[in-house]
Amino acid sequence: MVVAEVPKLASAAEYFFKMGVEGKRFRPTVLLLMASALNMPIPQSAADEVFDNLSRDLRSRQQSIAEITEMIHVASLLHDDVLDDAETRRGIGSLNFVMGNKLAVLAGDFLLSRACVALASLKNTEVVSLLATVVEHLVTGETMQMATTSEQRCSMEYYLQKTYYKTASLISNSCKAVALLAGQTAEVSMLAYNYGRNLGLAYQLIDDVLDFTGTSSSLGKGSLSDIHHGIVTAPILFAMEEYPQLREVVDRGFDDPTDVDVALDYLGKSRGIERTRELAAEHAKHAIEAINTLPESDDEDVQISRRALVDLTQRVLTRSK
Amino acid sequence: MSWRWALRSLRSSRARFHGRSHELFFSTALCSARSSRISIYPENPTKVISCREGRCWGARGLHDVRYQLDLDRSSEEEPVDPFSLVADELSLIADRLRSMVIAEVPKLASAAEYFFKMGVEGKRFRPTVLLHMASALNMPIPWSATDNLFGSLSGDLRTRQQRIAEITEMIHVASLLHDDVLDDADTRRGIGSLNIVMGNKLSVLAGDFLLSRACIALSSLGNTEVVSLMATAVEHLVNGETMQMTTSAEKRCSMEYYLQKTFYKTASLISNSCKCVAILAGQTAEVSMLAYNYGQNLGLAYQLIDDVLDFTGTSSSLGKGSLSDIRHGIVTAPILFAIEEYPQLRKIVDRGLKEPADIDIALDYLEKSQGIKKTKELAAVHADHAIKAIDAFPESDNENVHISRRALVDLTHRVLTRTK
Repeated sequence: MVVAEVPKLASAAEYFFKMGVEGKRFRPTVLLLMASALNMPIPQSAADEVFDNLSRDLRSRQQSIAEITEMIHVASLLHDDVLDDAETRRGIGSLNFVMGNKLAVLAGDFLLSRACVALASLKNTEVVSLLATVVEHLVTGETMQMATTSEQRCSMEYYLQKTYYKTASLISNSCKAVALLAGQTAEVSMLAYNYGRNLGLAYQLIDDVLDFTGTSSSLGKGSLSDIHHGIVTAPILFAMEEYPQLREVVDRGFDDPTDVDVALDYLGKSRGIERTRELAAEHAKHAIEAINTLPESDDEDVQISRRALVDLTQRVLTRSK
Repeated sequence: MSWRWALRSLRSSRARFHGRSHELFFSTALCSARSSRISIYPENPTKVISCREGRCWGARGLHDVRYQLDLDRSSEEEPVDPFSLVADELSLIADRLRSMVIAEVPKLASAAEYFFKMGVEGKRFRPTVLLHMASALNMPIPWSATDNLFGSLSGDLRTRQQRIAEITEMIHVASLLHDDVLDDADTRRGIGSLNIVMGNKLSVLAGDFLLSRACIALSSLGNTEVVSLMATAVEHLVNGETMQMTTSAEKRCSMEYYLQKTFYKTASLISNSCKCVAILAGQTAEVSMLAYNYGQNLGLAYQLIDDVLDFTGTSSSLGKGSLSDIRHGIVTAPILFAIEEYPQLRKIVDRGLKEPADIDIALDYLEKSQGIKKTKELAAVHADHAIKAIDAFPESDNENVHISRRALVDLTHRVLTRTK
């Protein structure tokens, strides 16, 4: 109703769909596969509404999780892009920036509220709690990124925690939600969670590498967007362990292009890229272990989906963009 | 005021408050220490409740002790202040809220806690309404139930209903934070707005954070209907804000659009949370709807008077108010009524009310018109509907229930007669 009445909101919603098209639809793919991978007959349904859990209805509820997850993801992107006053004034034609800002807030709120309503309609309070926690984590992760001390910026622990919040939490908790809707046990739900978490972390680590290497395996061909935004990622953090002098350069911030070159230089000499890939591979392995620990099933579709989930971990590692 | 002294000493000794002798002492003290409060209400409460015979209410805890004391006061036909009736519970809720919005990241923590600090919690209108609604629907439970069972049952229910109040406040503050970004507000609750103090982005993120915490608290209640209702309230808040930000000239001058927007922005949260309180208490659908109706009408009345006060401020004459709505180009009920009488005002409104001269002209028309008066009348109509909803509640012998229902009625009067 609201969308039809308010044209501006409709265009914000369009932005949402465009994002879905441009993005790799990675998350929904994982979630749908997880749903299939867990599609096992439950001997004694824990859920009250046994008849609600007919496979078709269950499937659409699980699809709902995928939709809700995307809405939350895009809402957080919109809100992350909100500019502070100083920045809006710097923009050309400041009115556009200001209106853009407001629309970003409103559109994000719109998506979040729709996500809330959709969550509520699933009639499962634990699922509500999980996805609400995701929102909390996204906000926490973004704030961690906004407000780091120099100490924190150079801490691998801080970086991994932030990465969990910003990237892995969404996928891990939504995997868990999919499992819960299927009436799975707490143990199985945790396995789903672990898969998502490790997959998410692996994904982000490779993302960090690609930002440096791009489609080639050599440095500097990537977009280097992280470093230009002053965001210190795993490869640099590993490089700093080998070359403590790199720390000084990092502390200066990366406003100076020569500093960027110096850092890339150290990175090239170090095993930073390699170690990041190794860490990603380790997480991918944990993800596979989680899938292998799932209760056995004879069902062909279940097995296909589980293989696909394993396959995804490899694709995450080997992708070049 | 000596009755206040009595209140304070009673409160401090409430842990030892058992038995009849104390009751008699304090009620005597109160009766003799009459204060001469000037009633600010058009009508005095006419119902007189007889003092309760001595009953040990130890098992029910301090909540009922407060009612006992105020019951004695009402027997003197003094109006009871709805806010002070629940003052202790409000403090408890405020403390819990502060603990519920703690974040790990310091920057986020200071942003999230900003409007929950002491002194800036606002009028706490919503929690007051909700606590009284909870009591008003607290149908009597046989006194013969064992202390423990009774205590844990009612204690648990009360805590859950308090949680609704907490959730409502978090959602409300989250929406304030975002609204201030959308409106470029400078101040809020007498202090700098968060967007001014910590920036737009952090305000937006803090609002999201509060919303997520509210949802987590909501899910902990384990009641999916309650979750749905509050999710609807959240959606309505966004709808209302969207309607306000993106109105066409046509819609701006439509009373229907305005009332719908007002329902979304103001009344929906309180009506849905009233309904939640009823549902948690195990009330029927009919009673839950009555609770909803009370909240809805109270909320609308509140906003309509708010609109009036923006013009009149603390005086009853025009132009003494902050005029913040009209200066932001927001067209409210008084102007809409004035337009009905003076269609030429429409042209001025359509120009956007950006020119101070235009604002003066509009105020001029407003003063000539019945705009203020009609808005107050409409508010009174809604207040009346709210009272009717309370009166339609199932009967109860329980004194506390009566007191709270009276407090809810009293709140409708206060909404109409407040001056700020």
